[in-house]
Amino acid sequence: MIILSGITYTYPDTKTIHFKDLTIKSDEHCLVLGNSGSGKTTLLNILTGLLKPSSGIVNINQQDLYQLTGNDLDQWRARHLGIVFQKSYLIPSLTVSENLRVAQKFAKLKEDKNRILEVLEQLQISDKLNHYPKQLSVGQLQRVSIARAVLNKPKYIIADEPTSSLDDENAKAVLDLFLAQAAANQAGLIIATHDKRVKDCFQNTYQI
Amino acid sequence: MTIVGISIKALKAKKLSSFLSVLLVAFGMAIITTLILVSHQLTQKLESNAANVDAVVGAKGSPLQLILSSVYFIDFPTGNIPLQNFEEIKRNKMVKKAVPIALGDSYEGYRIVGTEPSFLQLHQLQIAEGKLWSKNFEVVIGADVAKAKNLKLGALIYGSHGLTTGAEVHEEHPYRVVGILSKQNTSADQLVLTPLSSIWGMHHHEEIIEEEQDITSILIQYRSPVSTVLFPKMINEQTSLQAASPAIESARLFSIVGIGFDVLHYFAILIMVIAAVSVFVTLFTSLKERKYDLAVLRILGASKQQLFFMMLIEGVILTFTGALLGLAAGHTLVEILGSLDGASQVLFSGYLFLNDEFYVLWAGIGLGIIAAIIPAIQVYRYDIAKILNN
Repeated sequence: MIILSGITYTYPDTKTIHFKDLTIKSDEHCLVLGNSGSGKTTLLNILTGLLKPSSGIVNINQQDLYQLTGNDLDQWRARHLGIVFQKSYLIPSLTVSENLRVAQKFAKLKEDKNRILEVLEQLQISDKLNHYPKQLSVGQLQRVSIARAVLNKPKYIIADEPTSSLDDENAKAVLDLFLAQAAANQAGLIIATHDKRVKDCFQNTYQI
Repeated sequence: MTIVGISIKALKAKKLSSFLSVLLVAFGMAIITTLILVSHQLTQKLESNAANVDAVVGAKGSPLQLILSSVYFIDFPTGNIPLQNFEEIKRNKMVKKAVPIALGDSYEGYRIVGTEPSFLQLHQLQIAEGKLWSKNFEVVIGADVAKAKNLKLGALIYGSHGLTTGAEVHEEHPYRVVGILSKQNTSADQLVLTPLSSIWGMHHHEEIIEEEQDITSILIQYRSPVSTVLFPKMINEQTSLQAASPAIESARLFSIVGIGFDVLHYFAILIMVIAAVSVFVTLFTSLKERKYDLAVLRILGASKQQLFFMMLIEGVILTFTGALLGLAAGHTLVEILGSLDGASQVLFSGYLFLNDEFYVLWAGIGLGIIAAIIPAIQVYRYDIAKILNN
């Protein structure tokens, strides 16, 4: 369960945003809606422990996030959250398989090649196991980054604008991938977007 | 996937700039290694050759030349002196040991040295095979001569006039090998020793005339260190001869050669500094495109310290690889120098490993850390939220 309460964030230019309180139960999905520049990304950063809010509490599965500091926070994030950014951010000098092994290593989990293969197969990209990122298309890169996010079976999958640059058909397909992965890993799904097309698939929406 | 593995793969991805850094470090290291090996072996050779010789007395001329020709057997002699001088000096109270030397002939580039058995005692030479000469035209040869020319006891060799090969050969008087010295690692390994009278006999085909019994120089060992000052003074002032000290002359030689060594040394350090800058630039510029990947590693659970360490490792891998290659190149170079023809008097070996080289290796690692420290600190301080949302 995710609980946001009394969150405010003051930007360096002294503009302050007050975020509405929010509760997301485990394995519930939530859409964070808002126009560009409305603070969606700021909220996601606060939610994932990357940006300390000026006030308020972020509690995820009974863990007060900002009670953790430094390496503990990095470790906690790696174990509990799977984050997909707008860009894939794969390491170009490593193959798809190595990029995923790095995710297991830094989360201090055992390297598990079967798990890597399983996730890649679910995302229908297992044939690219030994390819380098530059050999993949944008769509394939996104699938690999989703694979990396769900690899360690996170409690929540958090994605920032995953469909904004896609046409209707692909947007639907990517959304289905996220929903399928959330179901397969029994994870909650939180997607931040200004893309209205995504709206229909979610019961919970959080408007900023 | 270990951190070192990630570092190696990152370096492999930018082969060209990594290669340049490694090449620069290797080049600098090769020069430093060569300098260390050559100067060490040169010093050692000079010292071991002159170990028991306190002074050399010979004809007036360059004292350095006298030392080079009579102790290291590399330069040409300064001229001849009458044997009578030897008899006088031998009786001098300050002199413990006096050994005459007559140069002039050579065998296939190896110098034939006319002397007395005291030469072997002075230089503490051991006969490995055979015995000392007992009559004219018998020779005891150095270990290298025997090996290079495949000479056994009883072999006949022909000397030629002059100290270089290709001169007139004395065909009428062959020398017989009666003894082979054990390996000394001094210039004695490259000598052919024979009694003085062989040399005289070679050039005067009739009876040896008393007045023409010339020698080249006299090696002196003092009775007491006090003579270091008094003896040369006495010789230089009271006779038409000169006395030169191997210690002083080889120090002088080293101060001349040393300038070249110093210049090379500074040059090598300069290259190493350029190499460090190159490593720095390689890592620093790569950060521009890699900062997203590195920030993502943090999202995946990597700690700041791990990323810091990863950057240092990258720098160290570059300089350490370069250092190892440079060490290997330096040793190879010295070995090649040592095996070159014509360098038979000063043999260098590439198969010698000195403690100094370990310091240089450590310095190579240190260089990598210094070059990588700024990029590493930068990575350590990354604000990952800011990077990933731009």
